[in-house]
Amino acid sequence: MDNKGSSQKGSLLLLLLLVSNLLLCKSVASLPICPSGAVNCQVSLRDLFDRAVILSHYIHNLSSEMFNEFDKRYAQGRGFITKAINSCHTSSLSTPEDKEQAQQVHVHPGVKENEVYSVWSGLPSLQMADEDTRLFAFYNLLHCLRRDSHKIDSYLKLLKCRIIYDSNC
Amino acid sequence: MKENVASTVVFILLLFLNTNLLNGQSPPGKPEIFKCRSPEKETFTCWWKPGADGGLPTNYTLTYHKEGETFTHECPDYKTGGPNSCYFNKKHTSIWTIYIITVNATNQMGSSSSDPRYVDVTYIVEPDPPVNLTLELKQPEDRKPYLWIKWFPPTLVDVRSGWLTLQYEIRLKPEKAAEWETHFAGQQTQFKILSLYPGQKYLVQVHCKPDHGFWSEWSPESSIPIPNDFSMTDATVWIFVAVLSAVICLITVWAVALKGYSMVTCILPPVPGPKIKGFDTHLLEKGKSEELLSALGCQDFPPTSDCEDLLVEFLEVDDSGDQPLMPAHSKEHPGQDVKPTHSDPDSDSGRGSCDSPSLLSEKCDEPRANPSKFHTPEGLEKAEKPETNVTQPQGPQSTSVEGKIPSFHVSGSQSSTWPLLQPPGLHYSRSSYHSVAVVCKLGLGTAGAAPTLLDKTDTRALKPSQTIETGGEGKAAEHGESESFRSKTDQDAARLLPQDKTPLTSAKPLEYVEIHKVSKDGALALLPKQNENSGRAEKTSTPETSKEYSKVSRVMDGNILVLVQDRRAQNLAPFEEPAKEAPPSLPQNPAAVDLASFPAAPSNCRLQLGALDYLHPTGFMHPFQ
Repeated sequence: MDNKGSSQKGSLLLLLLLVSNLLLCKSVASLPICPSGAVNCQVSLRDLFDRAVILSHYIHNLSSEMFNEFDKRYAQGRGFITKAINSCHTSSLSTPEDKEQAQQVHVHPGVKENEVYSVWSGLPSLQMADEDTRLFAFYNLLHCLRRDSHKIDSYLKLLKCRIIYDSNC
Repeated sequence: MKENVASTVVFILLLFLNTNLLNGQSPPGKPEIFKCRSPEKETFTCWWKPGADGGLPTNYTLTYHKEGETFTHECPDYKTGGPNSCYFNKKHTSIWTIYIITVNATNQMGSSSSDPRYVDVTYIVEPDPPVNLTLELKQPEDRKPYLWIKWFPPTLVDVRSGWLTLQYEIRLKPEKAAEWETHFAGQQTQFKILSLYPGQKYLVQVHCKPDHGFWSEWSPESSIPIPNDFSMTDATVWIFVAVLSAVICLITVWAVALKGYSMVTCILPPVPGPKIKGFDTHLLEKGKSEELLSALGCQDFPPTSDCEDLLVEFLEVDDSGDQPLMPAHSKEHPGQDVKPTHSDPDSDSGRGSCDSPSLLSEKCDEPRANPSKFHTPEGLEKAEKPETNVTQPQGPQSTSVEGKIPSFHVSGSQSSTWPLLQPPGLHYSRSSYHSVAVVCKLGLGTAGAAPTLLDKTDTRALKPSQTIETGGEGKAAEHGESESFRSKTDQDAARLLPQDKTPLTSAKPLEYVEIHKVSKDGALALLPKQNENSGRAEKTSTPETSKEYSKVSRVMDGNILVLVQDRRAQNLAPFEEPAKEAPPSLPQNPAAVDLASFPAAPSNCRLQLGALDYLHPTGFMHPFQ
């Protein structure tokens, strides 16, 4: 039962770390783009992309740090990586898998086909009584979060350089 | 037969195996993939470490399969990466996908496989070092010279499209130095170095790191010699140093100014000057010696105006109408003291001498034989009678009640002063004793007995006084019994006698009002001194003819006793003079002066009443002799 308590504590700590990091993200770009109440607020695309890139970069940094911490502390010798293959709920989404494909990404706001939602149903696994199952659930969650945040960061940087700097960063 | 064949086969096999073992051949050991790296996040390479080859040529194959796929692939390129490597080109590289890679070692004897390695290209990015590191010394005209370092990102990395974002770091050092000086350059590909030592050769290196990857190796060193004339003077630095020094000096001066005195006094404490407690130099400058000395605590030396209040003048009643004593001090009533108005033959008149029942005696150093008077301290304690005013029965002197002089003007003829009490040790001659020193403690012991004693001594008031002339014996022989009571008081009271008795031994008959007794509350019962002759002759009768001013009619100003005759004194014949007031006498104690009203509380220690004037002896002596 000690293991269970410690693992629960660890899970809770990680969740706290995640939440706090996400909250801290606000401090990264603490200034709102448009002050509240401003009507004709025009933000340049450059500033918008800069802010977006800063945020995505920061989020991926945090996700990577969380995963590494968890892996070092709870996942050693458990073979979680083996079980985490192809287990992200977002893997069904078709996303670019290399640079060429990523450079082909075009943003078409309003197009319905871009709205693809993949529902995450791993919450019960996070609350499982079995420690091994619960720890794997956390591992999987953090693994997928790290990957997806990296994807987002990469796509945004590509978009920024392409749109703002005309592929001449 | 079959058994033989089987056993033979087994034997051969064993032999064969043993032979192989003896040859040292074995299946290959297990290889290990120890590193996989992508230089640009588009390709990657894995390297493995072969195990023991078993003595036989071993073939290594790398197989992998990707996340989400089922079929296994083999390494597409074993060469590019060098020996024991596998290079995955762009076509075979998928980002955000886990590769499960295994290396198989096969030799003649067998094969072995490594543990599968899970590789995600996303997280193994390690670029090449930057390229084209250039160093240039720039010395512009109006600015400081600097070293300009420039480089380019590694060739493979695609920075332009934003696929990778690189950050750089340079380091430099003089050629002979041991430590590198590292500078973070951010995403820029140039850097300026300002602080360089002239005359040395500098080495510079640079490396880079992708946004989510590992630092690259350091680029090859670039060197540049710094010429000797590379001036590094900076006026700004000197200006800054000067300003800082000035600020520090100002702060130091300010601190010293504020705390300097205390610091100096701490280090060199000032020499304390002489100081007498209570001594006020300002008073001395003003010349107010009285105040000065009073501040010092000398209440009665020299006599001040305050002491005037406590002056007890000699009451001198001169029957012959002679010129009265000169009461030198009496400022308030000079006239009174001079006018002899007494007409009645006052039995109290007489000169101050040992004979007189008064308190004086300079020539009678022994304890005085006026226990009655010396009952003062006792009487101070226990006088039942509150102070009553005893006014001067005779003449205008009685009006002295208005003044501040204790109006012990008992005799009517003229103002007579008698030295009431003088502290022992004061041996100066004076005409008037201004101080009534009542030593409280003297009579304390016998205070209780005072009231009773007083009764007895009433009749003998004059007798002890008369015995004084016998040499100042404080103890009257005929009053042995009373002596026994009063022995202590006598001795105590002796001290109360003014020391200076000589001047009182005047040829002129002077009447002295003597302290007849002291009531329990310290009241002085005063008797007019009867004639010496008559007093001596009729010792027993003196009380009857004695006039006793034993009533304090009132106290003025807290320290002036106004005495009146006490008609109701038990053992005393009342005076003809009417008393201004006639309060009921004390059964035990005829109204007595309450000396407690004097400034010094009688219950306290020394009650010193009034200051003492310094009088010229001649003037003092004159009235007496």
